[in-house]
Amino acid sequence: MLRAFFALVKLSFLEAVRRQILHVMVLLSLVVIAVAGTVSFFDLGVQVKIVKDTGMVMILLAGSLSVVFLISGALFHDVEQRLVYPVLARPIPRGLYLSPVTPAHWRRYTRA
Amino acid sequence: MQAQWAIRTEGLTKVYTLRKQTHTAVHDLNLRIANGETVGFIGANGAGKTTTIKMLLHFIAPTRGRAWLYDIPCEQPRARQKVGYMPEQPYFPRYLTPRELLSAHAALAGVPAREAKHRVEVALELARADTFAHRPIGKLSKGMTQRVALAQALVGDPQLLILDEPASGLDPVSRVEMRNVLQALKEHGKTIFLSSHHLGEVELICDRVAIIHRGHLLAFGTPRELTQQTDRYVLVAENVSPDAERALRQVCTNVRRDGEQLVAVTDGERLYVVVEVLQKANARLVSLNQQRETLEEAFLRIVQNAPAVLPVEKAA
Repeated sequence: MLRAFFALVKLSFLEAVRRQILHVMVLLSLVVIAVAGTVSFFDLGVQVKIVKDTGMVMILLAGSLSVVFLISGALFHDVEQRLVYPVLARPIPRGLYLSPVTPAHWRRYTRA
Repeated sequence: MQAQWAIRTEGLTKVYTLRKQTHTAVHDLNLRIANGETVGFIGANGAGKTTTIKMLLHFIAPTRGRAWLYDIPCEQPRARQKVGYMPEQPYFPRYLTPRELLSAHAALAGVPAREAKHRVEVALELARADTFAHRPIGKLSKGMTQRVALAQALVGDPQLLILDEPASGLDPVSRVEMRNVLQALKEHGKTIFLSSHHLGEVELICDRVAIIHRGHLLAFGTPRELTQQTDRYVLVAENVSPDAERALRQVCTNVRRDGEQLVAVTDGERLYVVVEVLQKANARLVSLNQQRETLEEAFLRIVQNAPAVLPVEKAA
């Protein structure tokens, strides 16, 4: 059962991290962090702190947006697109399908 | 001990209710499919084929009746231990590759980890999906996705395959390939429950055929039991002169030359005239065979002869 659980986690995780919205968010975060280092007008001599704060804000923002975009659509998308049927046809309890969706995305979130 | 029936249903019924209107999708379905059999499940769109499959795999609960897979009630997950399912219009995660998808399904099917990699490759090869197993599924054509779906169904080395329209949307070449794969699986002793609209293929592959119409099982038997002799005769003759051929065209249909031979179709009433024409022309009758209905013709006859009002559910 644990193997089936981790197989589902891997399935959800791989599909989630390859979605283009994540690439856009990573790009956006890098651009904002890079810009933070070049703006000297507002740093009042504490540029390192500004860069660190911007980085932290981007981690929080990108992570939050990932969770919102990915988790909110994951289950709905799977049911709507009938992705769920081949999985439910396997000898696993129905509840097991629901459990990895959240951990997979949370794992991605904590790495953001 | 091996169960006698791969699939067994008793009084399986599904009624949908929407805004006080009831619709009986499947009515009192009794099926018994033996281990190793290949059974075609045919019917028009909306006849109840997919609903039946959904109940067998417990995607939806029946309103009444019960179903068993290998004598295990279908509501129990272990009933699906020996089952491979190929959905109609298969959709899979777009960014995964077929190999990644199959690895996950091997684990879900309970394939031991040390065997999984080998089983994935065997399934990909069997379904002829190995050449594009590294490409994201979202970038594959419909035919390729169908093959991935078949590989996904095969990865657990199931004893029972439930295939919902496996040849749907495939080009003729891919359809023949799919038929060959199913034929090979049948020869390997797999039980196949095949829902399809391609009746010619069902007739070629299946041992028995179930005809469902508006949720009711109208007929269940071998293609030979379901089809009847027609009043059409196919004759093949040699040494037919042009004059005799002209005369035959008056009383036959589908007259054509096949090398030295002439092939024609006639009905029982005109058969006597045809033989007389051939005798007068000194032509040689090589063969004369009474034609049987095709499964398609039998299906249409059975469905058209079904009562206009079938017993339906009373409003809930």
